[in-house]
Amino acid sequence: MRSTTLCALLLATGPALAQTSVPPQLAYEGRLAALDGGAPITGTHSIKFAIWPSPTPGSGSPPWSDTLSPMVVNGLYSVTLGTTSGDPFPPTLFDGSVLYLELTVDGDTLAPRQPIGSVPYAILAGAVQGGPVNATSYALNGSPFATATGRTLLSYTPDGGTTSTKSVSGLFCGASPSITNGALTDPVTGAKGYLASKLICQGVCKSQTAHMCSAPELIGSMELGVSALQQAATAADLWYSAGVDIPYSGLPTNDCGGWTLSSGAWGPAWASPGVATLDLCGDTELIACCD
Amino acid sequence: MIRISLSIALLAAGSALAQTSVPQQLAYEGRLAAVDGGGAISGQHTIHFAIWPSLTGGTNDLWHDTFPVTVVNGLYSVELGSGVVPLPPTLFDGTVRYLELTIDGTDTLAPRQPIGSVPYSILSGGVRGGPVNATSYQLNGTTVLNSAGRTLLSYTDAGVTSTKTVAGLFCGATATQFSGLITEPLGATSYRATKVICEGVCKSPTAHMCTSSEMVSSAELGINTFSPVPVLWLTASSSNTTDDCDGWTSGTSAHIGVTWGSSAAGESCNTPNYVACCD
Repeated sequence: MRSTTLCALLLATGPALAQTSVPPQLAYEGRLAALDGGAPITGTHSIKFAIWPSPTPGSGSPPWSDTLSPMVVNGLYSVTLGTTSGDPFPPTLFDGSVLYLELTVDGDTLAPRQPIGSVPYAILAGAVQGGPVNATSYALNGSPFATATGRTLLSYTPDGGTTSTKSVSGLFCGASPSITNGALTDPVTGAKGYLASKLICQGVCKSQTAHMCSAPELIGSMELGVSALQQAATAADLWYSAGVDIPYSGLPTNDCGGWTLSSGAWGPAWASPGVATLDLCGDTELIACCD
Repeated sequence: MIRISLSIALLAAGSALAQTSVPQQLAYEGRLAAVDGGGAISGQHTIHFAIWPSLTGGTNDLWHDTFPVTVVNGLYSVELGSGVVPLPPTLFDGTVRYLELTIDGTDTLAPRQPIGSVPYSILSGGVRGGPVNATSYQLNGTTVLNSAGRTLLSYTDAGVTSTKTVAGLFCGATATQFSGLITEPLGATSYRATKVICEGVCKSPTAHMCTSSEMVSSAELGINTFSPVPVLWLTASSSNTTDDCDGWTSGTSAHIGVTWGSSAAGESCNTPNYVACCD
């Protein structure tokens, strides 16, 4: 008997396995009818499902196929493709190109092959191929790698500790409310040195990823015309972190000894109208914060 | 009367409201038939839909709502999530969910139907697990990578947004030489001028004067940075011994700027040099 099939749907279905992506199974429901318009087809039938890259028959074997024996009731049947042990869909099968589903019912191959298209929307996708991505957050294997403003994120979680984050390269986001010499202390936690500079800037910019500016961040802010930086630098010089030690006038220039010294060293500072300079660590300046 | 239900589709459907993501409703079409093979079912019926985390059992479902449906020759359609209870945002997190239907308050259909995947969608509300290979990347509408995939910094002031790449590679040098006093034709000065000039050199809104690390990276990758110009100004400001010619405002020998020949060096700011641009 020759049969036709009406694809009623590709519904999804999958096993109860833990999934890191979306379920790789497709529910397919179809309708079989006799070509001569006779009685509805009922009973168990053998249906081979094959997915091909081409709409017309050629040589070779399909990248995926499976033969199932669904119970047909009044012409209707449903199967779940991709669940047969040892015969999953190849991971790269659905790569964005149009594929074609071919059914062979009890040895009769139905024609033409059915193109597999798209649905308008999905709540969750397993992958993105082509097209723009406009997301609310970005993570890689569960770890965020971009800040809320899209800047590259460094994060660190010590053993058993809490995760700290910073943006790799940002722009000027504010200056500390009060001046300080080169020996920094966080007024909240009492932390010293580089850790103090980050904690202070987190408060200044109200951002967990904020930190003391580097020279490239300040130059980048100047290149983009960040007006807040130009205004802040007119009130006082702004300490920033450079990390280098280029001997100058006999004293080290290593960020005031990692922001622990109030004398005997130089610290890099940003001065109006927009230039890097060195200040003695006993000078009192504001702190430049970036994010 | 006991019935069987054949779901025909979970098609997407949504309201005409402006959406920031995808519509959070699922159109479901089903077919009701009498188990005894009797005539087609028609008329008004009430269907309770529940989504469970498991095929069987469980105390609490993840979502449920009840819809009045008009059945015609066994067929009906409803829009799940459009009723009293919206679909929870975290409901479809990549794990298999199971849909259970109860007809007219008494007939709970078995087994629950697993909800899996469709091969393709034109737009998705999220991505979980697989690779992402996109043509552009935005975060809440703001572009975060340029077309070459480099991280972007952007700043908006007085309605004008400027962008620059954080770390790029050599993309060209100016055709003319500058002392350490750099002014672009429209009047911008200092660091802002270097960026405007490089935007023109590289024909890119994200271009900027090279840093020494960008030049080192370019040399590492074998990019020819010497032809046709031999010595290029870089930006490197780290102390007042080499202060980028006082932030590119000084053309006198009182200041020093960093240059790139075959390596980084320093030159007096009254020396004319070309400007190295990176993107």
